[in-house]
Amino acid sequence: MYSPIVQSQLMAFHNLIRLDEENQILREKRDQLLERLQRGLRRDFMAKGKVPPSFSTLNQGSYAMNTGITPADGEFDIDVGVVFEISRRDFPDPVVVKAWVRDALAGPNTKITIRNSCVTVSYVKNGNPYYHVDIAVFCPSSNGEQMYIGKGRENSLEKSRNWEPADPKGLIKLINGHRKGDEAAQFRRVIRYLKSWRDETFKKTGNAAPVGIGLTVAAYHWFQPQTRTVEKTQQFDDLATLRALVKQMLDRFSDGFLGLWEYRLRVALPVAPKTDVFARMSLKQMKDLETELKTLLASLSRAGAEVDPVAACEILRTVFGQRFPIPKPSTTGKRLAAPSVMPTSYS
Amino acid sequence: MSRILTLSSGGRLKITDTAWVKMVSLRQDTLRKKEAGGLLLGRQILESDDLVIDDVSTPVRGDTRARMRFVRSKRHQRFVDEAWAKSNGTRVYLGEWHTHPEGVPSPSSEDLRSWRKHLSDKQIHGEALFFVIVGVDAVRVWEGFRFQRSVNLIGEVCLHGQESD
Ligand SMILES: [Zn+2]
Repeated sequence: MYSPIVQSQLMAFHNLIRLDEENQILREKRDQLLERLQRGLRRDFMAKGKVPPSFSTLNQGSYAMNTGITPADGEFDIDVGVVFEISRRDFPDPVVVKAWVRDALAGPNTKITIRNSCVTVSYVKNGNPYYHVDIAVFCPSSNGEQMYIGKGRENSLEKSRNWEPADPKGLIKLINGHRKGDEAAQFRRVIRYLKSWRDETFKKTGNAAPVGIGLTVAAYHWFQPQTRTVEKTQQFDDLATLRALVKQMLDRFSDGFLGLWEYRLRVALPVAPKTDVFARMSLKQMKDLETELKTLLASLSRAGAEVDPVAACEILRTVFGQRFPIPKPSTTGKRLAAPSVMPTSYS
Repeated sequence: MSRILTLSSGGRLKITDTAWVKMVSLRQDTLRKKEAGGLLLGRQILESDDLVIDDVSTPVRGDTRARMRFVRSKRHQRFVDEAWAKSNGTRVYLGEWHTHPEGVPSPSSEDLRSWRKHLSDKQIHGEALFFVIVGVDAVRVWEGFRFQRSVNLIGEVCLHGQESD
């Protein structure tokens, strides 16, 4: 049942976790990184008597889609795209280009890993993870109409090192243009709730967490806003909306055929290359995801059935972590101007 | 065990574990046990028709306790005053409870008379009043209507077996 008090606690929680597009720290870190990249490339290429490649940058990830959350553990996650003005014909192996990025950024307190879809640069402060940047490497087609993302790791077989068609700008445009007004705002809130559930849950179990973009695209496909009319005004019911979305995700686990018969949740990227955003999750990770989604659904149902909004918020704190605000009982009750004075009661 | 009851308004009444355990632990399941009772405390939830009974008072010195009779003294007033003061006026008196030495309890004529008196008492504030009788086999809950001075049975919870939600 809809509770205006639980709804306002969810909204307060959202304000607490939302990562502002204008976040100063992220902006600075990203700009510093891009400067270091430029300097490093110049240094490395000049040393070999070559002209350093020029690149442009692409805002991407949750930052650009306005779906980011601040991390509960303090480790920020920054996504950035780097588009090299090179030709795929000259550099058929994207891992070579990703290695340029790795070498250019090498430095103290820095750990750099070439991953399948990006180069991850992790910074350490006082021995603790401070923040990390995922750099996706792109190159354009010769006519500039198509973009390709560099896939593959250093130990990947040749057939797994490819420039794959991608449309990072198209995805951002789709997510940013999805729904209008209050519905678009609820769409973003629901994505952020899912991400904070993901952070809280998979931190505890230590299992591989589903990628944020996967949760975002799942919400893009299956988000259905739920509203309630209270005293003639329309209110958004975030709890019911999130519950409906989680239900949809669970209903879509299936034994589809994809080279192999596999029981998975398939979430297709709505832009090129239209691949499954969860394709890299193993069957074991898929099973874990399903189990955790079932637990989430059960908790949301219990919170929704609670009469006492304080108890409902206590359940939601187990889902979303310590940052979820629980109201004081005295703020949830109607006030009486004076205590009742009772007569003796006979029975 | 479901302790959420539906009210005539469409709202819901929840009795929390704390309140429930205090009442049920005093049920008259042996011949020696005397009637017990007290008052119900809780919140009327803002922006809703829902209520939560989250505590009850239990017998104090000054109450009259017999096998078939319980008189709750005015000494229970301090529970109401304290709850009200500590909660910024939101934790309030929500009614009365007592036990009966019968399986599935029903109110005596004395009970009904007393309940009606409460319903019309101008010193009792708030719209909602509830009456709970804890029997040996079941607990029953009545909703009181202040203007009509009438009551309506809204729920019965069996005390045997482990029902699940
Ligand atoms: Zn009685």
